[in-house]
Formats: sequence, C-alpha cells, structure tokens
Amino acid sequence: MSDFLRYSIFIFSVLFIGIPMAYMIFKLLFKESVLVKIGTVMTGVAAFVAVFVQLMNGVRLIHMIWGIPFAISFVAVGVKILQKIIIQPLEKIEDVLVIVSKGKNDIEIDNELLERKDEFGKIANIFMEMNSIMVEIMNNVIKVSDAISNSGDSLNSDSNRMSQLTKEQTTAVEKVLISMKNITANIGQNTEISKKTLKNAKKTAVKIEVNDKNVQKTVEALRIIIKKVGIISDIAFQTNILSLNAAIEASKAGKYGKGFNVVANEIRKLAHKSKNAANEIEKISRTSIKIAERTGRISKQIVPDIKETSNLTNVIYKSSIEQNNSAEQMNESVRQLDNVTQKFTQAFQNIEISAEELKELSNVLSTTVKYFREEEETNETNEEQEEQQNKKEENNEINETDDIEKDIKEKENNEKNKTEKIIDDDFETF
Amino acid sequence: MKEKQTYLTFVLGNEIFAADIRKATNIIEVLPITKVPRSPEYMKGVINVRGIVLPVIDTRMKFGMSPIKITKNTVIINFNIDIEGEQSDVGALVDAPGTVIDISDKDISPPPHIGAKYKSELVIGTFKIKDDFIMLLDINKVFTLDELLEIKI
Repeated sequence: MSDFLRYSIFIFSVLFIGIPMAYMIFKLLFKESVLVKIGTVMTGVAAFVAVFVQLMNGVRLIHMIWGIPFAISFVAVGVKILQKIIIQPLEKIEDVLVIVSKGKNDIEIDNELLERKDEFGKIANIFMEMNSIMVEIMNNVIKVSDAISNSGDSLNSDSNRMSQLTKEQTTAVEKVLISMKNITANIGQNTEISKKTLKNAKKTAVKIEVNDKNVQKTVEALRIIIKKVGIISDIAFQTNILSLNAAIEASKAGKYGKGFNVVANEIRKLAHKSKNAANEIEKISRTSIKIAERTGRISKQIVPDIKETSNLTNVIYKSSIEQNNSAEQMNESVRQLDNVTQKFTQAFQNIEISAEELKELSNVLSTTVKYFREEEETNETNEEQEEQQNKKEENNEINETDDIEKDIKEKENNEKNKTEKIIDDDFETF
Repeated sequence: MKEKQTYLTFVLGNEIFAADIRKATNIIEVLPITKVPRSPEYMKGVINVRGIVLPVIDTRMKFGMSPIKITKNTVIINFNIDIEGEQSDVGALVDAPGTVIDISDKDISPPPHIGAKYKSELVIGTFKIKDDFIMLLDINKVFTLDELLEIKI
C-alpha cells in the first residue's frame, strides 16, 4: 500500500507538477509556438515512461514484456495528442487550400484554429487574410475587366460614330472641293473677262480719242466748207449783178437785145439757185458743226468715264487675281483637310480594331478571373443547360469525389474528436 | 398796143421798189466812197468808176429811212437821170439788188392816195407779184425833188 501511495503521489506530481512545469518552461522558451505543446506532450510521455520504468524496478524482468505494450500505449496516446495538435490543423488548412484551388473563395476556418496563437493559427489567419485580399483583388479585376469591356464597347461605338461622322465629313469636304473647283474656275473666268474688259476699255479710250480728233477735223473741214460756200455765195451774188447788168444792156439794145435778155435771165436763175444751194449748204454745215461739236463734247465726257471704267476694271482684275490666289490657298487647305479626314478615318478604323482587341482581352481576363465563381454559376445553371451535360457530369463527379473526401474527413474528424475526448477524459481521469 | 415794160427792182429795208430799166446804166458793187465836204446828208460822197466820178446817194435817207449800213448785199445802181434837160449819172445805194421783171401796163395799179407814205408824183403805180407789193418809181423825180415824203396834217 505504501508503494501504491508512493506511485500515486509520483504520478500525481508528474501530472500536476511535472507537466505544468514543463509547459511553463516550454512556454518560456518557445512562447506561443506549437513546440510548447509538442514539448509538453513529449515531456508527459517521457514522464509516464519514467514512472512506468520506476514501477518496473520493483517487478521482475518477465513483467517487462508487459511493459512494452504499456510504453507503446503511452507513446500512442502522445502521438494521438500530437496528431490533434499538428496534423488536424494542417488538414484543415489543406481542406481550405483544396477549396481555394477549385476556384472557390467563400472559405471558412473554424474559430478554434483561428484563435490559436501558434504557427498554425498564424498561418490560418494569414491565409484568411490573403484569401480576403485575393477576393478583393479578383472582384476589382472583374470590375476593371467589366469596365474595360464596357469602355471597349463604348469606344467601339464611339469610334463607329466618329468613323461615320468622318465619312460624312469626307463627303462634305469632297463637296467643298468640287465647289472650290467651280469657284476657282469662275474666278479664273472673271480674271480673264476683266483682263479683256480692261484691254477693251483701253482700246475704247484710244478710239474715242481718235474719234475726238476726227470730230475736230470734221469741224475744221466744215468751217472750210462754210468759207468756200461763202465764196460760192459771193460768186452767185456777183453773177446775179452780172446778169442784171446784162439785162440792162439788153434793154438798151431794144429788139436786138431780147435773146441776150433771155440768157441774162437764165444766168440770174442759175445765180439764184447757186445762192440758195450755197445758203442751204452753209445752214447744213453750221448744223453739222453744232452736232459735231456736241459729239466732241460727249466723247470728251466719255473719255474720263472710260478711264474710270478702265481703272475700276483694273481694280477688279487685281482683286480677282488676289481672289484666285486665296481660292488656290483655300483649295490647298481643303485638300489638306481631306487628307487629315482620310487619316482620321484610318485612325478610327485602327481604334475600332484596338477596341475589339481590348474587348477580347478584357473578356479573357474576365473569364480567367470568373473561374473562381464559375463553379457556383455552373452549378446553378446545370439543370438549365443541356449542352453542358458533359461538364455537368464532370462537375458532378468532382462534387461526388469532394463529397466522399468530405465524408472521410468528417469521419476522421469525428474519430479525432472522439479520441481527443477520450484523451481529455484520460487527462481528467488522471 | 399793150406793151410790156421791163423794170429793175431793188430793196430798201422791207420794201421793194422798181424803176424803168432803161434809166439804169449798170449795177456795181460798193467801192470805197470819198466823202465830199458841205454836201447834203443823203450825199454819201463820190466814187471813181472806170475814170468817171460818180456821186453816191443814200437812197434810204432819201425815203426817210435810217442811214444805210453797208453789207455784202449792198450795191450801187447807176441811174442816168434828166436834170433840167441835162443827162447826168447818179449812184443809188440800195440794201440789195432785186431782179428784172416785165410788167404789162394793164397789170399796173394806180398809186393809193389814202395812207400813202410818199409823194404821189414819185410813184407811177403799184404792182403785185405773189405776196410782194412793188412800187414803181419815177426815178428822175426821186433824185431831183428835195423832199420826197408827203407832209401829213
């Protein structure tokens, strides 16, 4: 009995003094590390083995054979405890990793593991954190790729619209080009016409000057005619006097002068006719002089008008030359605009292609990232889509295997829990 | 016998006069007139016609008209007149020469007594040709009488 009491005290001291002491020592040494637990368990096992050896001292060697299973069972208990400490959390982490590798992010790790302060707890926490960051990143990537896809779409439609507008612009510019060609042609014609008009005006001015000189000459000639007519008039007057004298002489000759008188009468008549004709010529000549002088005055008035016309036409000519230059510059500008528009069209086509590529790339990105969610989606749409039956089957298989695995794990977990409970019970019983 | 008489006409102002052509010697254009001192106003002076000195009378003044203005139509009719049985040449300045017309005695009307401007012994008769009213003059009396105008009461 004294031996039993002694061993009891010994075991008691190992359980309630040795192991806690070891725990505290390891705690001091390794702080939060899993090594504390491992060390404590190993110390416990060693202590129990030591107690057992101490017990064996009083027993014969033959009984040592019985001691081996005891020792093994001690070690087994220790290993079982270590399994709970090391393997269980590792398996939990493995499970989670498997889920994540399948593209699922809605993972859960039980609080027991998360609240642990050793390496496994840290790893679990870090992993959870990492997962949440990954989820966030993926969400962001999805959002961004959706946004890129939308942008690609809008870019595409915008560039389509721009392309359309540019085409309209091209037609407008082409119309402007045609109009400009017409305008240039018209201006050229105007230039030509004004040039001709200028020439004609100059010619007309020269001709009018010649005309004026001719009018002056005509007036001069008419004056000479009037003078000469005056001479004729004088001659007619003298002839009249002569005829009168002849008549006087004939009257003196009496009967014999009768024939002579007839001649004198005829001469007088001729003199009268000459006089009348001369008077008429003079009258007409004076009227002609008046008309010619008036014509001269008018043509003198015309000359400055013609000169002004000439000057104005010159201005028009110069203006139309400037217009021509401007029109050519405008033409050049419009042509450049046309080139630019065509380049725009090309650029918009390139943008369209780029937008398509961008959309494709964003789709690729989207599908890649959505891999992590597709599982759920496909599960939801499995029943609806017959075409994806093969995939469904595969998924089902995977699910089945997953289920099996889960079952196994659950069983194991249950077993572990049971063993743990047993061990706990053991501890408590101790 | 109805005989035709030939008359020489001339113009004074607006009136046409006629004289027996046989009294006229010739008609000459106006030559430079040499004035004669202390002669009547109607006496313009003398001219030299082929060596003969011819007195020139302003006929217009003789008929109470304004003094003659020499124009290119002005001529001198050389009349041969009877002054107290002596033949003498007188140059009569007239505004323009007329023509030569033959007039029958029956066509000659007597000179009008009422409203006559000139003395009755001057005008032998009147003659109408177309619209012109021609007075036939006794040329001897024209140059011998001192006063030709009828004195009116």
